[in-house]
Amino acid sequence: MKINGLDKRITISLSNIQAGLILAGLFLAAVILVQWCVPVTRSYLTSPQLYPYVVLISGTILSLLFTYVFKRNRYELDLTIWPLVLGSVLYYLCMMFFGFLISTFILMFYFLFCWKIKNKKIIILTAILTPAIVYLVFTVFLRVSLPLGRLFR
Amino acid sequence: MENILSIISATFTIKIIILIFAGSLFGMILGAIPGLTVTLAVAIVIPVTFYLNPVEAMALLISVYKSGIYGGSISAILIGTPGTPASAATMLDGYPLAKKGLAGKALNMALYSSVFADLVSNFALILLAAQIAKFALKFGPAENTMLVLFSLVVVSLVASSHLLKGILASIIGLSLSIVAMDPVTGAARFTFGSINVLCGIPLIPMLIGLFAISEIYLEYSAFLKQGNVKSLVEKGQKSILKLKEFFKYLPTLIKSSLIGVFIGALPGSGAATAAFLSYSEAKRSSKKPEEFGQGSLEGIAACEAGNNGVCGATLIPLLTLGIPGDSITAIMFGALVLQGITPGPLVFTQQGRIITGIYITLFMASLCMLILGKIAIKYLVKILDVRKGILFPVIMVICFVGTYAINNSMYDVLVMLMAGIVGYIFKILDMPVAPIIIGFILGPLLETSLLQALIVSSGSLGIFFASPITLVFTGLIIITISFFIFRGIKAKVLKGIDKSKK
Repeated sequence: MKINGLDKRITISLSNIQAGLILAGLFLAAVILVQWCVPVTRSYLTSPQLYPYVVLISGTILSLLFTYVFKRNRYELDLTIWPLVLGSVLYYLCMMFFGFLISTFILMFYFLFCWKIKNKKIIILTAILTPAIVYLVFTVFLRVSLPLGRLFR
Repeated sequence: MENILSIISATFTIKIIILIFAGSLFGMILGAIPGLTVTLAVAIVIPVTFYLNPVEAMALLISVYKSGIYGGSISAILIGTPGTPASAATMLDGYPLAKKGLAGKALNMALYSSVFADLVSNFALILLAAQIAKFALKFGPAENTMLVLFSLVVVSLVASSHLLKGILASIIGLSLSIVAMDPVTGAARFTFGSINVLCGIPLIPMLIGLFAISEIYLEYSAFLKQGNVKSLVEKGQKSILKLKEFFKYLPTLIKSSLIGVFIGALPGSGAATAAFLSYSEAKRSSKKPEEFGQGSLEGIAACEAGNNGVCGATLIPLLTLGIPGDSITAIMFGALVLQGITPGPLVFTQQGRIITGIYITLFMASLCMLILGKIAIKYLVKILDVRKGILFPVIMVICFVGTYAINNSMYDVLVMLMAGIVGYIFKILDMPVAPIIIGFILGPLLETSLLQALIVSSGSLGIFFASPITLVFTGLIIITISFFIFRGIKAKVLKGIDKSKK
C-alpha cells in the first residue's frame, strides 16, 4: 500500500499473479470445503458434490493459468474511495435501525459531502426531496413497504 | 375475417391504448435507471392486472417488458451503465460513441433497431409459433447442456479482451450459482445453515451491485482523480441518424433479429444471451470488426436487434407449450393463470380471441415504443443530465430501495453492497463482469441439464455427441474457440513481424 503525498491518494498495487493466486486459493478452499458443506449420496451421478467439484476444480486450474498468462500485468487498486464505501455500509446499518426516511435524509448530506457538492440550497433540497419522492413513489403508488427500522417497529 | 375485424375493434379501445402508453413509459423509465430491472418493472405492475381483463393485462405487461428492454440501452449509451443486463452489450459501443459526441446517433440507432427487431419478433411469433416450439421441444438435457456451454463460450469471448479472462469470469459465475439447494436431491450446499441462501444468492441484488454500485465507486474514483465533472451525460444528443445509415446495416439487423427470435424461443436463454450472440456474429461477419468496442453503430444495431428480437419470441414457448422461457415470461405465466387462463396448446383452440388480441397488442406496443422513444429520450436525458455529485447519491438510494423492495429484505441489500465492492475490484483488475452474471444465471440450467443427461445415459459422456443438435453445438463451440485462438496467434505473429521490422 502506498500513500501518494501529492494528491493524498491511497492505492494498493496488485499484480495479476497476486490476484490469480488469491482466486486460486479461494477456489481451492471451496474444493476442500465441498466434503463438509455438501452432503454425499450413494450414486455418484446424483451426488450433489459432482457438479461443484467439476466447476471449482476448473476454476482453480484456470486461476493458476491466469497467473501464468498475465504475470506481467499490474493494477492500482484505488482505496481513496473508502469514504463512499463507508457511507454505503453506514447507510445500510442506519436503514436497519432508523428506517428509510431518517437514514436517507442523514446519509444524503454525507454522500453529497463526499461528492463535494457545496451549494447549500442544492444539498438541503436533495436531502429532503430524495427520500420524500422515493417514499411517495414506492409506498403510495407502488404499495411497496420501505424499511421502518428496528427502533420504530 | 369478420371475426378478426371484431377482435381488432375490441382491442383498439382507449383503455388499452392508455395502458400501453403508461406501461411503455413506466418500463422505459425503470429500464433506463441503472439497478432497476425489467423483471422488477413487470413484477411491480402485476397487482394492477388483477383489475383488468386478460388482453388488457397482457397489453400492460408486454409494453412494460418491451420498453424496459429498450430503456436499458439509454443509460448504457449515456452513462456507460446498462440499465438492464440485456443492454450490457449495447454499452460496449454505445458509450464510446457518446464519448465521441454522437450520443444522439447511438440512441436513435438503438431505438430503430429495437423497434425493427420487435416487429420481426412479433411476426415470428404469429407465423412460426407452433413450428419453433416443436423444434425447441426436441431439446433434451444434452442439447440444453451444449446450448448453455455454447452461450457461455460466446459470452466469455465477446465480453472480454482475452478468452481466458472471459472463461474464468464465467466459472466464477457458475461457482456462485452452486450456493443453493442441489436441483436433484435438494441438499443444501455452501449455505452454512443460513435460510437466506437456501434458494441461492439473490440475482437482482447481485446485478445491481455488480453493475450499478461498482460503477458508482469507479466513477467516484475517477471523480477524485479529475475533480468535478459537470454533466454525467455525454454531449451530442442532437447528432442525427440518417435513414441511409440505418438501412446500411439492414443485413445485420435481420440476422440479429432472427438470432433474438431463435434464442427467445428456447427456454432458459434470455435477452442478454441474444444480445451477446448477435454482437459476436455481427463482429465476426463485419467488414470493419476493428470498430467494434470503439463506437460502432453496427454493434449497437446488432445488440439492440438481438435483445428486442427476444421479446415476442419468448411468448412462443409460453403461449404454445405453457413453458416460461425466463423470469419475465414466468411472471406473465402467473398473470395469465390469475386470469383463469392456463397457457398451452389448448389456449389456441379454446381462447383464440384472446391470443389474437395479444398479437394485436404486441404491434401496438412496438408502435408506442417508437413514438415514446422519440419523445421521451429528450426528457429521460434530462433525468440523467444532472451533476454526478447529485445523481449518484440519488441512484445509490434508488438501488438500495429497489433491492429492498424485491423481497422486503435487508439481506438482499447486504448482498448488493458486497457485490458492488467485488465488482469494483474486478473492474479495476480488467476482469469482465458480464460473463460472471451470465454464468450465474445459466448455472442452474447447466447443472440440471448436465445431471439429467448423465442420469439418462448412466454416466456416459457419449450422450453429448449423440444427436445432430448436440453435434452442431459441439462443432460451433470448437469452431468459435479455434477461431479466437487462431486470431490471437495471428495478431501475435503480426506484432512480432512489426517489431522485427522496426
